[in-house]
Amino acid sequence: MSTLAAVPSEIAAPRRAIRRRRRRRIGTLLLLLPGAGFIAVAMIAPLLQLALGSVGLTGLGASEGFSLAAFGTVLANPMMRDAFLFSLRLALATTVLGVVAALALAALLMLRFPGRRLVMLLYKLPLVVPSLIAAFLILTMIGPGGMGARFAMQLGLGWPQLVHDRAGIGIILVLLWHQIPVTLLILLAVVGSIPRDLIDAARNLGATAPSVFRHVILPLALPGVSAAALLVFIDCFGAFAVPSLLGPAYPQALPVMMTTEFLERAHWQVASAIGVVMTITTIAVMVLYHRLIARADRERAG
Amino acid sequence: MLSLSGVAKRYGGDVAVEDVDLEVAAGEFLTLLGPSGCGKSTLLRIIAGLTDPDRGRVWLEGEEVQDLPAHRRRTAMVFQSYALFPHMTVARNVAFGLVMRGLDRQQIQRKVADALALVELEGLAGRYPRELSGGQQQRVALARALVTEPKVLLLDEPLSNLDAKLRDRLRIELRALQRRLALTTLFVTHDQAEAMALSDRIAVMTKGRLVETGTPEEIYSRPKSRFAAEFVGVANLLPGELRGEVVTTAVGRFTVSAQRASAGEVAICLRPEDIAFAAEGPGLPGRLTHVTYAGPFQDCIVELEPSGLLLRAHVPVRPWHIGGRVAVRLPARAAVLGE
Repeated sequence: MSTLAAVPSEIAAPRRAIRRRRRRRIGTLLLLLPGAGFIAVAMIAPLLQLALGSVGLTGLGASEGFSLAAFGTVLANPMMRDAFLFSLRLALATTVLGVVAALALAALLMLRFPGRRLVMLLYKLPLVVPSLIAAFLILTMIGPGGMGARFAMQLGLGWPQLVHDRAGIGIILVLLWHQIPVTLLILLAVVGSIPRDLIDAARNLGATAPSVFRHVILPLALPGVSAAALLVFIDCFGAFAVPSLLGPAYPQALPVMMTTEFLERAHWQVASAIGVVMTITTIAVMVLYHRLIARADRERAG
Repeated sequence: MLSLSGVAKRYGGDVAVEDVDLEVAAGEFLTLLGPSGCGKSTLLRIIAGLTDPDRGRVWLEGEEVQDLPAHRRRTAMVFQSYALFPHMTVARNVAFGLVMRGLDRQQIQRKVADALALVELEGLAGRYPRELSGGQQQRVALARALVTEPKVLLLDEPLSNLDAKLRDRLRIELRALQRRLALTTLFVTHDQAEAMALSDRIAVMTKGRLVETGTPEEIYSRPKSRFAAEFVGVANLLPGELRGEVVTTAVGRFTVSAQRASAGEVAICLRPEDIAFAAEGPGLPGRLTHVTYAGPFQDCIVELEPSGLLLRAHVPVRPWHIGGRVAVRLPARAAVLGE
């Protein structure tokens, strides 16, 4: 009897455990929903729509069905290629110049000098001024007929073309105006987190201020520097407003081309394909960055 | 060798260091002893040039250095956190000071190897600080300081992050190394046992001021100040009146060396091991209120009758028990304390 009575309870116990586990799993999923749902709706859905739109599955003109024709148009078109290279050049130049300038400023701001607090306050000013306004400011300063040009004329000198130029100097200047403070903000936070004892130890061991910066601060701030560089690159590669206002007629920056395809030509599929190319480029840069960081860590760990 | 005169430093309205005068002889091991926040680390940083004093002068080997930047002072400091550069190997950490002084590669390699041998870390040159134990990191920090052949070695609580056993061992090694190299050393600690074990002389600090300087034996057995008497070891302080070389207290008369204190109200200091008691015989009557076994001795508190005065005594281990009546014998001589 006792053996027979034991059988149902042995079967029932695992069933109860399974039901409990299932309930717990559903509970966990419900708890995840606010965070995961937000990411899905706000981040994954637009990317998915972009990807589907690029192959003709969503958006206007989707009736033709699946097609890779838009990518063919983007990759084969020399205008698009030049736009891609132009955006890449703008982003790389701004990143390199911005990071170098921010590093120099960070080094300077580590020293004590009269007016340091004012500089600490002023450098944040561009952060609250929108890029478009900065673009107008730069235009009035260095554009043809601007302040610089008129001053040069007074001196009987010529004035180079610094806006709407093929090198994108005007665009880079405005992007730098905005990106240097952002980079500096990140760098100062990273530098501030370096233990004071390390800097004091270096000074005590005979290091001058530049040596302390080169041998201690810079290597320890490098992860922050590279993260800041990555953010600047991504931001500048996707910049639209400034290249649109200050860029040359040809080549145009890739986001400008994308907007033209969207709004003026209603080529939603081509515009989406440009968006996909830009996203892939950004992801490729991020992957490259993480690989480089991982390799540097491995080398450091020996 | 190292002299400080009238050194003072304030942070806002708070006094960090106040009019400190100090002399350290060549090859001497002097400890700055005091509670946290008493200004001892600030004083060390002023000597190293890492903190600017508000006023006062610092001399190193006869040269006035208070206006010299830190990198030109030839002092070497070991920090409480060790401050090893995390992105450099042990060898590169130790070599740092030599590279900064522009030595050639061969010289650096030889000196680094010698320094690592000195602290018995020859096999760890290629490791990173994070791969070392606390004790090993401490040795690297010491090697990094010693390799620069500094005029004065400054140690800012370098043993405080180690466990008790390792701390004890490194204390002995540190002292032996300092003696062998005849290195002028300034050591900062709040641990009085550490100060006693290591130092030729101890300078006791409180509230930014240097209250007393002397050998460990002088500070312990004949403290001049109430603060030093209470901070170093356990002290029984008895109020009394000084006349000539005799202090009269509620529990008897004590002969003191009166040259340091003027006649009148004073306090004398009796150390717990100066106090003895027996179950019976001559002595002041008392009752045990506290008995703790402390290994080589018993830590007792005895209440004297009829005064009710409590005295802390360290006595040989016997079967004493709380509430037991004893006859207390006090020494004939005691240290008299100024303010």
